[in-house]
Amino acid sequence: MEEKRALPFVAPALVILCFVSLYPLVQGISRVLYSFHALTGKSAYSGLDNFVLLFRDPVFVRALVNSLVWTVTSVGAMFFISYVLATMLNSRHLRFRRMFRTVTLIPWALPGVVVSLIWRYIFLSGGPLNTALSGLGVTHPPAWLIDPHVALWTCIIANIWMGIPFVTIMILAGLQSLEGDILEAAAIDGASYLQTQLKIVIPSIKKVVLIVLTLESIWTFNSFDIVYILTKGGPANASMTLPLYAYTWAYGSQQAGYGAAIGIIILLILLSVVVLYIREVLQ
Amino acid sequence: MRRGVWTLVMAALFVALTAACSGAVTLQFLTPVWQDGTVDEVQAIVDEWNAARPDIQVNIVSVAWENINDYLLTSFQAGQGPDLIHQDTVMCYEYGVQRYAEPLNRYLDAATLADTPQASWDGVSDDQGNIYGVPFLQETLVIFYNKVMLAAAGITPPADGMVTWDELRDYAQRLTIRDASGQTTTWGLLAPLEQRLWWCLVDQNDGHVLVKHTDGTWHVEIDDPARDAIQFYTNLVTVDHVMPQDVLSYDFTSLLQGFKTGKYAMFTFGCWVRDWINNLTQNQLDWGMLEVKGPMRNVTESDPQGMCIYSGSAHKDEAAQFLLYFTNTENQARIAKADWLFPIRQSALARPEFQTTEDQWNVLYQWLPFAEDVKPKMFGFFGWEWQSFIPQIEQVILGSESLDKALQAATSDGNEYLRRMGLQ
Repeated sequence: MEEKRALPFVAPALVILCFVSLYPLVQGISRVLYSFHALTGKSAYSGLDNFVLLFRDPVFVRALVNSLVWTVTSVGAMFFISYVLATMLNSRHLRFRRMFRTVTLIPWALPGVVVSLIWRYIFLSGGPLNTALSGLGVTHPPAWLIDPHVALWTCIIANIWMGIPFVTIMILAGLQSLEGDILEAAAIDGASYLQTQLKIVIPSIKKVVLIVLTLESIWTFNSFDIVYILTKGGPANASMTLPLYAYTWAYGSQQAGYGAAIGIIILLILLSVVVLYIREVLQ
Repeated sequence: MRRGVWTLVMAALFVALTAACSGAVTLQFLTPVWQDGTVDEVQAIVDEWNAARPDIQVNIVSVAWENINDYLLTSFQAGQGPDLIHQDTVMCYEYGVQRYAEPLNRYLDAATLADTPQASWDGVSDDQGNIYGVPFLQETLVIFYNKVMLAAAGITPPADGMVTWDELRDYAQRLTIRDASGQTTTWGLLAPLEQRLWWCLVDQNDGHVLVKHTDGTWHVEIDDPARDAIQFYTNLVTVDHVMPQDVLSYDFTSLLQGFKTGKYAMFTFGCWVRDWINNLTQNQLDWGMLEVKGPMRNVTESDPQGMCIYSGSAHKDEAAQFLLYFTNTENQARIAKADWLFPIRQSALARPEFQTTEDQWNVLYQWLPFAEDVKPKMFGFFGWEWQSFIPQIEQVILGSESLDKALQAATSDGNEYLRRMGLQ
């Protein structure tokens, strides 16, 4: 009964949501069925050809693998570093705690494009990082943006730096909600630091951790600016990720259908992450 | 208080009604010009037009070269493209093929057509003769060199600045300096892949990479002269070691800094960079320019820019009036001079400011006959180049693939790409 009464109040929001979310989704899906033919200058119905082509495309497979490596590594490292940072920032023994908390937020306040340009400058072959490494006696510093074995990891480093503030602040909020009694009880029972963290603290802030991991996974997987500005997916597609690959087809080659097909694969992958999250929360 | 508000509302309504009844048309003009002098000059031309033509007002919309295509494609899809578009001529052609750019034939009189070389019109026309843009700016791809370093290496460039492939390699070898540990402190040459020296070399050797068959289909068919040209370019990195792998990924400012500090003795770029070198070095660096002489013919990249009209514009006739004004002899010359480029109209090109010794305009002017758009006029050329072809060349430069294998892959992958684009 109450739900029925609430419906008129929710309806306007639902209508807006349909317009801004469902309409583009339906549009995107419908585009998958068409391909642009340059000789005729027209788009023609091509059924599911774009999906068939996708799985025969070695660069797509490479971009898929890269995207998984990029997301798992970035989010994993972000979580680990942020957890350590949040624990330090939560410590009563840390002096200038407020100042450090503010400083931690700085990367988050910068636009992604600015962060990417700064990192690009840092990673240039004659940039400050390699100049410093040469000064330290490293005779052959890595070609961060050019070496195909390194390029993706270069992007991951920049992405981790950019993602740390959000994860740190969220974990810090979780830690601050912990009752001090639980930690004291664990200490009295003789739990080691690691045991306290793994068996008391992390399970206590599980919901925060889950939402942070879910959001960061989605954002990182969808991230475009860092890879685009640092390497443009190169060299030789070594750092190509799915969002960038979708962009290059949709805009570089003007094959919106193929770009949309890649977009749908991205959607399916991210939906599985969301489903996992919902299952965990419901449990 | 209430009376004041009413007065304001009425005044606003009056202004709006007057504007609506006056029949004035406002055109949106999208341009990627970015150098200070060019921005000022374009603004001045638009201001002069707006002052003279209150019935057709032009509003400049600025966008960066890096994302102009993204901006336009999304605008076209939404049916909200700008009335006038300043873009690469090859993109004017592509927008025409996609029906986003309006054919301009009916707006172009015989004098305008005759004043621009036919090769430039061909670059913006389809096979049916529809002209989708007015080409108005061109450049020459040149090799900038540090005069002091060349003199120190005992090199005296020829008077006309034209060097053969062998001479270019010889210069680069003599200019490359390594320290006691074998580390390179000065690279003889930096020719970024993006600047397409390698495409010029292919054309200079009469080579072919992309071939259009008589039925209109496109095919990747890399012949031996093209292979030799590409090999010459990649060997500069992998065999001669006179060019760094930085050709794959460079930063414009760092490149200029590198030229200033002696990290690079020579580098290839468009002729507009003269202004940047002068500013960066505060006119303290003694520099010159070279052009590569081809074994079969002389070719340098002209990278022409043009202007087109959005087919969905509600004011095509008015847009065409402004387009013809903006690209007339006087204005082409003004914009080209401000942008350190050359106009395409022959009447503008004949003006003395493009042949003066100041800033070495005369040196470039002598090479203009060799300037042509080396990019084949194929729909989706940029996509093919960067998605299919360049990744293979990158593997050769990185030493992870032999040239022959890379070109084989470039042929098979490239043709697959062209099939997918509907070009075969």
